[in-house]
Amino acid sequence: MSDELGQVFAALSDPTRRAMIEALLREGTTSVPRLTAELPITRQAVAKHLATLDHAGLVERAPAAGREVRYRLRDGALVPAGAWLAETEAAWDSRLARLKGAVERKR
Amino acid sequence: MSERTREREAARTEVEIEASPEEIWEALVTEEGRETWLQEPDREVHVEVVQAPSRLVWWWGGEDEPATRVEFEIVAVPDGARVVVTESEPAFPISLLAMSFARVLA
Repeated sequence: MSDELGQVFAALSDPTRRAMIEALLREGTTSVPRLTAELPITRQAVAKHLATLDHAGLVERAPAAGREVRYRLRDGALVPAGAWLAETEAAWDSRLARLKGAVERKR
Repeated sequence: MSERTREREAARTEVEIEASPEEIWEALVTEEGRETWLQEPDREVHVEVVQAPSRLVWWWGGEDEPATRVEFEIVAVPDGARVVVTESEPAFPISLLAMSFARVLA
């Protein structure tokens, strides 16, 4: 597993940050005031979690629309995790083929 | 949660083997058995659930990798048995991925 993917997993290991990503998947963009209204945490905590998601490459600032700073998911942010899923399934296909060979040979 | 999301909760694949669940079980649960097919010398297996001969759960991980959970279900079928394996990273909700793909496709 790459460092990049490790950072994504670490960022998503926190339920509050997962809730933020889910809000972004639902709504497209969000902001500190909006997340503060939705979540039972302070504005400072929201800003800190957003910074962690930004550092992991999961979110970015959206082009400004008015005075409010808005955030959106970064394109392709979850692609490494999708690659993990595909690699893991391919690895199990190979292992299960070997298991089948070993068990059937033994009969 | 939608059907689509549910099916992407974990990496999942399966195989049908012409052998009894008990014969397959031996190859999964013993170290000697695993040596014949697993070929992952850098990963240490820690068995969590043992329900012979139908369900086995282990955790494993290599160096610098978060531990993942592997579950085997063995179901008898007419010509042998089906083995279904799922591997998941519990800290990471794969459902998020499905949501993001749905969004891209929308």
